[in-house]
Amino acid sequence: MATIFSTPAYIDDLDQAGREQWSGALHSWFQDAADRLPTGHRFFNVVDNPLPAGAPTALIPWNAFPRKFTLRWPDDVETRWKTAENVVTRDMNDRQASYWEPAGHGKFRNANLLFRDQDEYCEWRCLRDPSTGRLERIVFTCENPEYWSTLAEHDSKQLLKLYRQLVGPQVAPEELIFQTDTYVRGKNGLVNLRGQYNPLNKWNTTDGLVHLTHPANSLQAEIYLAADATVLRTDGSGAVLTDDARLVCCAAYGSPNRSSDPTIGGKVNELVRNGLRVTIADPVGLYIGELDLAPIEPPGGVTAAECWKVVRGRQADRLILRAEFAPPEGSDFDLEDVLVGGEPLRYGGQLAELITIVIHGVGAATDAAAPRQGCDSKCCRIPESPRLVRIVGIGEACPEIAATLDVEAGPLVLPSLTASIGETLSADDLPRSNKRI
Amino acid sequence: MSDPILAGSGIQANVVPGFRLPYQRIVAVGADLAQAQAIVRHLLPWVTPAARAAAYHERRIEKAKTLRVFGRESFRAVEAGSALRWLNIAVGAEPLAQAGFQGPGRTDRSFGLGLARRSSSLGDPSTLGAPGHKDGWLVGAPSAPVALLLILGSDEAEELARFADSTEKECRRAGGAVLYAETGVRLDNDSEHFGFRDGVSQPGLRGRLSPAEDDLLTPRRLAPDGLSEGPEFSAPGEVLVWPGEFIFGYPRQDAHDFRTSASEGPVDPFMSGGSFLVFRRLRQHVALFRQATRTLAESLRAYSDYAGASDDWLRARLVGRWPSGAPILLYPDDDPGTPPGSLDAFNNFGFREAAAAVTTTTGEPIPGAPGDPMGLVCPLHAHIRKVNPRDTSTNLGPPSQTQKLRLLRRGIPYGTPIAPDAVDEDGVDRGLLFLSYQRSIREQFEKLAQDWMNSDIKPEADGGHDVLVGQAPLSKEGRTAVFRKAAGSTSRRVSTLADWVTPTGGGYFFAPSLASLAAFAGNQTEV
Repeated sequence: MATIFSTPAYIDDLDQAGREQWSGALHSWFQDAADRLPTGHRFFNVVDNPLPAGAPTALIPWNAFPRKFTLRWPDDVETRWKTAENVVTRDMNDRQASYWEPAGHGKFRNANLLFRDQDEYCEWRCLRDPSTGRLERIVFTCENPEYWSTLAEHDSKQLLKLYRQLVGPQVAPEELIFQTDTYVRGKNGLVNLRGQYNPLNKWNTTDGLVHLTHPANSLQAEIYLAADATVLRTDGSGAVLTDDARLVCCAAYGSPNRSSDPTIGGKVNELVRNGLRVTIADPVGLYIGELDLAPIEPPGGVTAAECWKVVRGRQADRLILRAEFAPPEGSDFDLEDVLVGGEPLRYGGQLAELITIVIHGVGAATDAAAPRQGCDSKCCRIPESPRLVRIVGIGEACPEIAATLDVEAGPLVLPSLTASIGETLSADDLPRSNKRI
Repeated sequence: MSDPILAGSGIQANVVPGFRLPYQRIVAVGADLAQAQAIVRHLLPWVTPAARAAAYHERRIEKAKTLRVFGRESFRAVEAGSALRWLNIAVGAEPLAQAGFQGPGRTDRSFGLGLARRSSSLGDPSTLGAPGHKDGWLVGAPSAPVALLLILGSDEAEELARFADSTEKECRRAGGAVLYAETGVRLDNDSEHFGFRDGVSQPGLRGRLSPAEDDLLTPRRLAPDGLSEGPEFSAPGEVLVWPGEFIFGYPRQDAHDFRTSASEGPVDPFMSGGSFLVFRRLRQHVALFRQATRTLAESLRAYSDYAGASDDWLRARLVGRWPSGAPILLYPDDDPGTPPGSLDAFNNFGFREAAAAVTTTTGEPIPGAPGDPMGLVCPLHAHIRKVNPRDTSTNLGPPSQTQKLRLLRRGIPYGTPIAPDAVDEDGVDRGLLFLSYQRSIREQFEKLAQDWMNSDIKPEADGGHDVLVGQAPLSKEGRTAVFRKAAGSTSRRVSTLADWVTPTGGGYFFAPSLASLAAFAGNQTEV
């Protein structure tokens, strides 16, 4: 029976007080998420409501490579792989990180911080030989940023130690900290993060990889999504929706263009439809479930398993937090000598396509009727790329789509799928952050 | 939007509609470009257009209904004395590129690489010398590249033999080498060699063969449902799919919506009307299958809650159907043998939600089926559930996306069937000449195999592998099947290391339209 929430994959970076702080943060997010739901909801947490013995678990899997790129470039594999490695200030859907800097006269502008455009709760970084450009190592993470912010807040020395372990000894403590006024909007208004941990610091973006950076890749968002998906949704005729694609459009609990959000929401909703209360199992987190090694052929008798090293987390329980793919020590080849599906390994995306990300859901039987709601929103096609959709209010009109459209052409960055962000905004207009602050 | 008009005289038969002929022969030809072009030039008059095959099948089915003859007999009933000679030609990546037709290779990276190089992605053995390793393949091994794959079909065995003889002579006359040739024969009850009826469920292709609204490629056996969203069925359990998922140049299936087509964008004119073809020669070790599945059943019976599971019960769960084709979701305890009416009665089910009873346009009542989202009746590892999750959402997206992974399967068994009671291998090479047409080998055929059949956690979590035909070369336990009695009960896992299916050859090809075949052959300068 869990009396506090465990750390992701039971990792032991934190002392007891730190673990309690993490558990407290998780508990508050679970409560916040539940507070948004209608009375009689089917969402719970395992600390306040311990699970009965034999409660059915549900592993929820999805693919690590961003689905949006596959939808956008269905035939152009090379462009997909290449684009997915970009570190950007705006993602393909024009989304920015919600950090703000003063613009004078009480206004704020987006701080344009860099992040990786990899939004399926898995991010990777390729390390190449500086002289030849050949690929030497690929590092994957699914560690949530909130955990690292907790770590920074509780034990900055441990934070630095881990950064140096994972990235290199060159990391300086001040480089992990916001050095200028940088704001986020929290529950109680604006918070200046100057002097606090900067999750999008250079050692976690342009020069290294420690934890997730994409604005959509937050654990809080995941908890909110799971909570929101416990509400049954009905269409205009009163029929309960069962299709994942229609559910995510109706309830707006995530992006319909991702693999992760519709899959997680759909599975949670299905468990509720089957008479269960639902939560995310302890240890709460997002995990690399597996890398399919079969298509990977290293040279010289080396096996793919020998190249895949779990650095943080546990492989056996599908609780991998961080892993690396590199030739084993002492090998005389680099990654471009490794064949993946018959061709040289040149991009991290080639392996991301073989990685499965999971969360561990769990249910408990209940007799109480689940609340039902109609739809708050719907999906409209994006005229510039009709294979992608965006969520709008249920009463809004969808834009016209040309009957025949050259869907392969067009700019790399599409118009915003979320609320448009102006150049400068007043404090009250800043979008609220889901980040741990 | 009404169904698009398909170029019935331009698309090759077997892409649509399937040959379905009882006797078919696969011929793999090795040739340089000039030889391949000469062969295509000579064989072009024999290539069967879709419209001709569609008209024939329409007549055959009508006559079969009148005379109440089915299976192979129905072919003889159509036009006595005029045996058929049908031909489909598909071309490999290398000759296409050499001829200047770069489109297919650019559009599908896996096609450009070829099956042999991609075989590890399918879970094929990558250890040199291991059974199934590409270097030992009978056809399509890296040392003997295939330029052309010919599929010949007839309604009579003797006619097919004569047609094959003249065709193969033509290939040799043009300087090509017949690297491989093998005849497939449809078995009784349309079974494959393990004894299960095959091909019960196929996607329903949207499309008309003429401007007439009712000249539909896929006959509608259900009246329009009057709905505006969700799947639309041409027959019980047969979801209508836009043709662009299989043939270039036509509207595609939308990833977010079953009924809306997605614009295809500009298509290389050479590819328009064409389709990618996957050929896999899969040897089936039937006695090993019987022995190993008996052992699996014994392992399962060791759990008290499965003490009553018979060998046949377990085998049906590996497939998801009984040998007759009856789905275990509708018939959980026993094989009914024959459907109460037509085969439609064996296909009206989903996995996530209950399927409502329907009545076909001919007045046949089709019973509904309960849903089984947790795989308590039809396990999550069952073959039919792995390769077609129907209404279930998957790791790759919602059901509307799942329909984009469907294949037009055209396989046919080869080799004589094993004795019904045999428990030891008899040394006969038998199996399936797997053939499928799709728009993308990478995103359809390979995705199904790599992402779903060979995974023990996808498309539905923690259900096990597709034990029937999946591969798990790196798993110490082998392929695993997970059984659950109830939502809260402990799952039972049984595993096998027995490889009762061995890949023994194959290749990736492109089946162009007739006009593009002519262009390849040099008969025309432009398509």
